[in-house]
Amino acid sequence: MLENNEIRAQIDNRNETVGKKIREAEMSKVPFMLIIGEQEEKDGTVSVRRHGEGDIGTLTMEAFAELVKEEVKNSLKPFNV
Amino acid sequence: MIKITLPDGSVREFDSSVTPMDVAKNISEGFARNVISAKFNGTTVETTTPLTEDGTLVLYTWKDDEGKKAFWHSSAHILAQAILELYPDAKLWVGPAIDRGFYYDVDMGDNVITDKDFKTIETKMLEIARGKHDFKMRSSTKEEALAYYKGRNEYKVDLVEGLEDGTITFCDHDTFTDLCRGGHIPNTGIVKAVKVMSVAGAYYKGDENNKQLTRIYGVSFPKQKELKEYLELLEEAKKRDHRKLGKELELFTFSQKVGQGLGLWLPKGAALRSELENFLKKAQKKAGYEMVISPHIGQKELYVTSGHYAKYGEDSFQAINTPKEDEEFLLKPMNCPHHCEIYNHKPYIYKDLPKRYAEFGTVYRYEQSGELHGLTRVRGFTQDDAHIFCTPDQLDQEFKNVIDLVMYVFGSLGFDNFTAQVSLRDPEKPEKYIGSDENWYKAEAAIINAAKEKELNYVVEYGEAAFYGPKLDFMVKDALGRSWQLGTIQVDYNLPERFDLTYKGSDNELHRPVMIHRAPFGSLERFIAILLEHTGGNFPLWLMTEQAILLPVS
Ligand SMILES: [Zn+2]
Ligand SMILES: [Zn+2]
Repeated sequence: MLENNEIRAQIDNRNETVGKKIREAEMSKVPFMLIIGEQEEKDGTVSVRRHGEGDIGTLTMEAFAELVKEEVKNSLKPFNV
Repeated sequence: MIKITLPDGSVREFDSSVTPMDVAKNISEGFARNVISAKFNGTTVETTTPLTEDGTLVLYTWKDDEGKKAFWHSSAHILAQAILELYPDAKLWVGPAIDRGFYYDVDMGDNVITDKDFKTIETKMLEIARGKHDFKMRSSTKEEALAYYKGRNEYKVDLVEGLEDGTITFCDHDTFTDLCRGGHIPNTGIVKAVKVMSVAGAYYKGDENNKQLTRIYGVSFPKQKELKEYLELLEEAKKRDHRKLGKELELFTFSQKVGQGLGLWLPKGAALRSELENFLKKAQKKAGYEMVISPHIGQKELYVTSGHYAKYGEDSFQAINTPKEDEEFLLKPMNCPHHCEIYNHKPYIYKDLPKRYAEFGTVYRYEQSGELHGLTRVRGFTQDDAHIFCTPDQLDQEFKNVIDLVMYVFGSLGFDNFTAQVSLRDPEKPEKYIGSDENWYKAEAAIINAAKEKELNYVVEYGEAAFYGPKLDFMVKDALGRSWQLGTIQVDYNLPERFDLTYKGSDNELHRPVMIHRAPFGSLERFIAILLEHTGGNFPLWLMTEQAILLPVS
């Protein structure tokens, strides 16, 4: 899903506690953390944490992809000659 | 009566012997309260110096660099007095203002200053400052000056020995006196906050065969609040140090085995680099650049032709020899000579130009080990280099296009605060420069015209151009208010001459193309370092090589 939207994402599947994974993701300054619990999995949503801001709510994958695309578009305009 | 011209061009008349402070009060009492130093006819004077001839007067407040210089210079006097009061056997050498603060070099004798002593020194300095002692300049004969220091301070004796009689001045305040050329704030009371920052060893006269003195670094401010903000900024800068972030984010490393100043890019750093390269490649393609590739070495003759051997040969990496005698190669210190030879691979007519050759070209320059610093000063680095070869008439448009590209790069990476400097010839010494007058006029007009049309915030500096052409530099302010030079655009009349570059004009004659060197990033190493310190590692989302991480909980 994220791949199709050209969003560069990784999955942290290591056998570690969630706390540790969050701390490490925090350290690496990755802009978005997508936490998928049982409820989210059932609903097809993700709980999104923004680096430096914290929780920004639960979104569908589509809505999240849209959010990222929008921000990329705003920070990187095409070069017009 | 004398005529005093102010920076806005206005002229005011005063009785002779008026002081800069009198002039300030004449302008407005409120302004005068903030004036702390002055320059008269280009020379630094005291705010109390009587002016006795017509001239131009510039008055400075804390907000001006010159004001800060006077403030910190004066603070060095206060530091020196505090040191002598606390350590009567200490011997002073010199203590200038620096970029951020000041220092004093002192022979501490048997005493050692450590950070435990800083508080005591600061308290003493503030006690002196609160006395609101005036800084007063006094002339002295060489004889008097020597008599004053003989037997008590051999460093000052040596300084006085080197001065001409008739030029020697002292500055007195409170009970303290020091050999000094001048440039003080009115009194010590203006200094409201001080901080001793650090101590370091410094050889007398910078010669390691001499005695090691103690260099005491300090900084001071007219408000406690400003000191607090400054210390917070330093703390933030430490957190954002690119060497620290590079390690934490696993972007790059250095290895003693590989060699000092030779960065090793780790997978995440390499990904970041190629993201930046792709970003620029895409924009450059749109702007009509063509990518080229050239080797990392070239024959020595190539650099003799270009003139780079004369500049980098002796002090840089030495020649690479081959089994064949007399054959010598050099690691390239610049990409330009290779690109000139790329241009030379076939004849051009005017319709073929401009040619814009771009390369992420890695160059090597031997920096002294003491000069090396993380990724900002290295011995091998990759320039986002390009050379544009055009006709003199195309210069105008090409310059504008390059400015557009540079501004696009800055905008996309969140550098919103920048100024430009246009460096032109010294109009009084045209013989110092190569290239025809006509071409210089054209190029200088093209740069200024482009800067104007692109609405750059720019200053013009005469006499700052290289001997081979005028240039435009961008100075970028980062998030912590520090300035970095990025994105130089340099016109060059020299290399086309040296490499005998030509094109056939519409008149069927051969002409010299003009060359433009330009690199919006400068080098990828330095640029990434600056970007890390500017953003603290939180790059714009488009540049993040990892934008999201999925954390399954169950
Ligand atoms: Zn002084
Ligand atoms: Zn060049």
